[in-house]
Amino acid sequence: MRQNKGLKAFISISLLFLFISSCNTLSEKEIEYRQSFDSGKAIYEDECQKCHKANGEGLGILYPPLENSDYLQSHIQQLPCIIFNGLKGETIVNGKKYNWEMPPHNKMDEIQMSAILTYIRSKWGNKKGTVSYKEARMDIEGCRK
Amino acid sequence: MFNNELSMINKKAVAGFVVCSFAVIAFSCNNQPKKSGRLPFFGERQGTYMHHVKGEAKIDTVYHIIPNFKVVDQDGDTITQANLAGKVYVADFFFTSCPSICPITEANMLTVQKHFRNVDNFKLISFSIDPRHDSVGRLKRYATRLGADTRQWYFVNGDEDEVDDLAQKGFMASAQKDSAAPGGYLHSGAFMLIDKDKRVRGVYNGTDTAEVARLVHDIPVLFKEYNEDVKDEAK
Repeated sequence: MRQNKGLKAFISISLLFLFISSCNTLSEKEIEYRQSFDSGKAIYEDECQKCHKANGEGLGILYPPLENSDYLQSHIQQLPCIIFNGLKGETIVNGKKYNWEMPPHNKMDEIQMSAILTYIRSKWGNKKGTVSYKEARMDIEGCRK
Repeated sequence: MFNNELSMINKKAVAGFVVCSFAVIAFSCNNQPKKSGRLPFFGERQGTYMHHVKGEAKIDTVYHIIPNFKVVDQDGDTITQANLAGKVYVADFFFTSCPSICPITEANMLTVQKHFRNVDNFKLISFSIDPRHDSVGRLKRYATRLGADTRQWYFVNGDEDEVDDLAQKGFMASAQKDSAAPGGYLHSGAFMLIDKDKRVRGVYNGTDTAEVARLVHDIPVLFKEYNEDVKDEAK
């Protein structure tokens, strides 16, 4: 009887432990990534979606697409400065000429910049992963004219 | 016998309740635009007038009408109300470098055009509220790049004060300069539906997909008043 109780307690505790540990499969890195991606999505909806549209499809030959965009793929390194300083002049995206100025977003801080870069790179830039605050701070410094 | 009577009373009560509920629902929905009825009139009423219809005197209301204007379109042609005579049209106020809501409103105007692109008596007009920046050439480039059909849709500029006045008092959209707003302008992003008699028959939030859908629904309803059947092509 007593042994039985002990066994029950043991099984309960191990089950509980198993349950807790199974909930914990998201690594810290993954949690960090998801948080950054979600705040980047919110910034995208406020700042970028008006022109580049919800699914990154763009509008006419006024605003180029981000989705399946050869320009974005080949300008991943320049992306922070395009966001920060905007863009003027002709760009060719998927063979089409675009030439409508993009406004600067130079009030962004490193937290916002890291989030928007995480979002765009992961969603359309074929480069999944968190952009750190440090990296974003260096990007912003490099973009200041 | 007693039971029967009771059930009769019950039935009457239920029937009464149902009728009342319908009445309440019908009444409470009454201020919504009716699906097939007439659209409302916007703006202050200017008074009444008497006229004769088939020999009988009839009193009608004079509604607010769009005042005359003179602007220039994307091809450099002068546009006045004469270009819109006998047309149902949608108007909005925008500017091409607008970083705030303009990309959304003009994309939605484009959607409206797609629905009625082949309707002869239908037009669209987008007034720039930034004429110093939005030259004729720039309006042309904007319209072309957006993918607008400029045979049906005018992109126009004019005297800044005149257009401001037209927006606020004529079309009753609020568009005015505000240095605190992004791009230096504050504007509502409203779409106005104008009938063939220059009267405002609908005001819609041009940034809201549901409101734009309501506008697309209302356009054929307005044409019906003029006995014209208009097909929504994108349906």
